[in-house]
Amino acid sequence: MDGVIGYIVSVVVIPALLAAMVASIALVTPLRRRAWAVELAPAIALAVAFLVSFTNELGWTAVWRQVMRIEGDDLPFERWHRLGFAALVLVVLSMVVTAARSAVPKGGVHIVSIASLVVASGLAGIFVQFPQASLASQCGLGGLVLAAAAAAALAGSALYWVTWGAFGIVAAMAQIGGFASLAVMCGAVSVASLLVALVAALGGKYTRDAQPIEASGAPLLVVAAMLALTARCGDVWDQSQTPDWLWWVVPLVPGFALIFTPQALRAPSIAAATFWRTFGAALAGVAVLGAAIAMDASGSAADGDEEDPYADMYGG
Amino acid sequence: MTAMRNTLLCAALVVLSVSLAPMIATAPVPARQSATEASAITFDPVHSMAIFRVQHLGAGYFYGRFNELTGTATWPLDDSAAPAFDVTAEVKKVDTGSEKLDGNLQGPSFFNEAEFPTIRFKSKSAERIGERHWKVKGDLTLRGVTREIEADCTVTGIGKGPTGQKVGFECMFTIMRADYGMKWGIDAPKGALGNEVRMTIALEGDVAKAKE
Repeated sequence: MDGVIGYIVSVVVIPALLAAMVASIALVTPLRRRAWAVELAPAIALAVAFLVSFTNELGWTAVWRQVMRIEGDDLPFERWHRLGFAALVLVVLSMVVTAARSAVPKGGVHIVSIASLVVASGLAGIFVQFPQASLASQCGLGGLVLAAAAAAALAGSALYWVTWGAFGIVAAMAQIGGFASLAVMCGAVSVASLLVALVAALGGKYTRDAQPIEASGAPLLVVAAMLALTARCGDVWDQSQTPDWLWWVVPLVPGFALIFTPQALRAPSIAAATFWRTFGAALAGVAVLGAAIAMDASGSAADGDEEDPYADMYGG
Repeated sequence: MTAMRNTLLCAALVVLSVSLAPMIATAPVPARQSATEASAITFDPVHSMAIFRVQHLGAGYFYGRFNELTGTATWPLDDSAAPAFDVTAEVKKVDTGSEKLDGNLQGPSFFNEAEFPTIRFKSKSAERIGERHWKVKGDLTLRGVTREIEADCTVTGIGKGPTGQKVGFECMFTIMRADYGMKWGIDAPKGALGNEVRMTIALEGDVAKAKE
């Protein structure tokens, strides 16, 4: 198999297909009638997509090296590798949150969700420290997890569709910024989210008493945490002319589902409402990505020889 | 009587000179440097660089360089002993002729400048293989990993500049970049970039003037 195609299959296609299989366990089987399964399986699926992509590129030692010494391993601790470990932690947290939401009385469900987001925000702020980290940057990272969760909650039934777009934007911006590894990992989550959205739509259509897709609990936790962490990581290592503020905006893109709220509320079906929410976030996503490409292009042109009136003096 | 006094005086002078001799011999040599004493050399960043070569897609060789190396060496100008090096390259000084590519190389898939901003070679021992030609062993620290390498080093010349005496060295060695955790493009994507990297280090430094 061609090297590049084999690579894409290994770090994007296989993780995404694996995620779709995990999500399918709950979304297209009788488990679709169970709220806990409809929450848990897609949440784990998205985290697994990132984790498998990460380990297919860097190996499991890159994950374990974050927390322990491994016999015979003398390669360095790299801070961005914490993303792989974070994905693993999110798998566990998803199980805990789903179990807790199932165990508490109905009134306590939202409290559990908010508490889990606060815990995830705190863990991110304390343990995920990229180079040049400061108290302000860590508070910012923790705050971004909460803000991303608030934004993703607005996507409602369109959560996986807008997640597809949001991770696609992070992947594209990482690629523009010269961070190919992060680009493929976010690409894997993006494709996985698209497959989960499709599977969820199919399962919802053909399963009697299917539980609806909602932006709450474990899926909200995974989407918000991973979006915030990958976006901050992409910004720290960005080699392009993309301004920092644009990286801060990306995790909030799902919140632009709000734009067409009136249309979504008046929509005759869940599918139509999902369309309007997705459309709103997609418009914002296109604007953010377009701005990133334009700013990088204008920055590169300003730095390049094209604008240099003395370019010829060196022999052209 | 006079003859006996002269003999005693001579004997006293001999004893005195013998007892003082070691003190005179160990007194510091002023002005001029001993021929076998190692000279301290400080590298001139403008004329010191590292060139790397790696195979692209299993086809052509791709070259890039690290500009403005800094560091020091010690070496006796008469080549009576081995040179010792301590050289540092800054990852942000990588130069491929393409800003985009420089950015990629500074990124985490390659040198990861944000976490590992410098590359350092510090020699430990050397073995003569010819006139002004040495096999130098030392530690190369790259991306936070330190491994022993063996460099083929040649003294390229001793010259005179406006600021004083200058010495040039050229060292060559080969590394496997995967040994330093830089694996992108070896297996994933397979064969995009070679594992073997040949390095040529060109150094020019100013010989420290002997203290007056």
